[in-house]
Amino acid sequence: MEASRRALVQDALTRLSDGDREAFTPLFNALWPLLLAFASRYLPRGLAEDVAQQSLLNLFARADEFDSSRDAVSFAIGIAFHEMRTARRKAWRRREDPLPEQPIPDVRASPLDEIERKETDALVEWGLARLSIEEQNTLQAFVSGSPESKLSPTAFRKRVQRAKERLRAILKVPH
Amino acid sequence: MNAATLALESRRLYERSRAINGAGLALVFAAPFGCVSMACCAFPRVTITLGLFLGVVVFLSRRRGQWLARGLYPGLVAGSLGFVLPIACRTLMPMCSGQMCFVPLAWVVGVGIVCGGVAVALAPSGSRSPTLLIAYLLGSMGALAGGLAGPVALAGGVLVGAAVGAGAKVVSE
Repeated sequence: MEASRRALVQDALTRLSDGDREAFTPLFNALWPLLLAFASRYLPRGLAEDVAQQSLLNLFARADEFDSSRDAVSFAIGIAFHEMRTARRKAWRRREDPLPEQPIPDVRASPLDEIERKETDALVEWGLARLSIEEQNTLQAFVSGSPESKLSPTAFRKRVQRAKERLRAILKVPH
Repeated sequence: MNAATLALESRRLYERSRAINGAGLALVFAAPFGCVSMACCAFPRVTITLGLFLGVVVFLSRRRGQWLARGLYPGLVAGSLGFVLPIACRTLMPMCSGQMCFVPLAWVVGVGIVCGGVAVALAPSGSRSPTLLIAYLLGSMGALAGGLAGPVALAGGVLVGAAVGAGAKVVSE
């Protein structure tokens, strides 16, 4: 994102949080394409538009709380990120078609975060290997968003809960 | 939802959130001070009127924003002095005559001078009027400890204090 646009968003949101209504239109014009592009990168088109709209509405409803010492673009992206997670969770709960495999972005990614993430992945794999085959399958079905068809949703949730508790217990054991 | 509808809806939500925040702030400030004033002073109708007026001013300032809202917190700080000092004076040094206990009006005027001076000192540039108005309205609920003439005496004090404070600011600049 170019610096001039970032500065425009920062200035407009700061003015709007102070009550300057003239900053509304420039902020709207700058944020709408930004949030739509952000959501479109990680979600299917129809859902991306819904998420971008909801993010924008939430942002304006919370514009009053914006602290001008913070970065306005990060504030906006943070709201959109939260909306994306909520939309994914809702889609999973409604048992809609699983969303395409698109990773949720890590907005704070840095080399150190990357190393930490790899270490965490290795630790989780180590823990998964110590679960029973049935528990492994349950967790895999949970992560992929396609629950085992022979089970009722409640039974599946309970099974997932038990498998997660067991995984947590294994990861707590010193190794 | 097309872009124009989205813009309208966004604007509506923005205005609504400002109004809700304004109403919350008005309630938080006017209600406790009003309750204390009702308990301490013998003029519930005047207290309710002043409290409502304060609530409306706080609500409008917070909702409108900009120069009006910038005077809000300095006004509340300065006004709480004007509120607390007459009530403390009445509680610690009761001046009773028959069934009524009043604070001497000279004391209320003195408190008003302090209150006005502090309000002018704390007010951000361009927000002196809302700061003084809020300070006066809040202080006047405490000034009722000086009787019905208390708010009038406080107004005089606040004006003198504001003039002195403004003069001192001009000289220092």
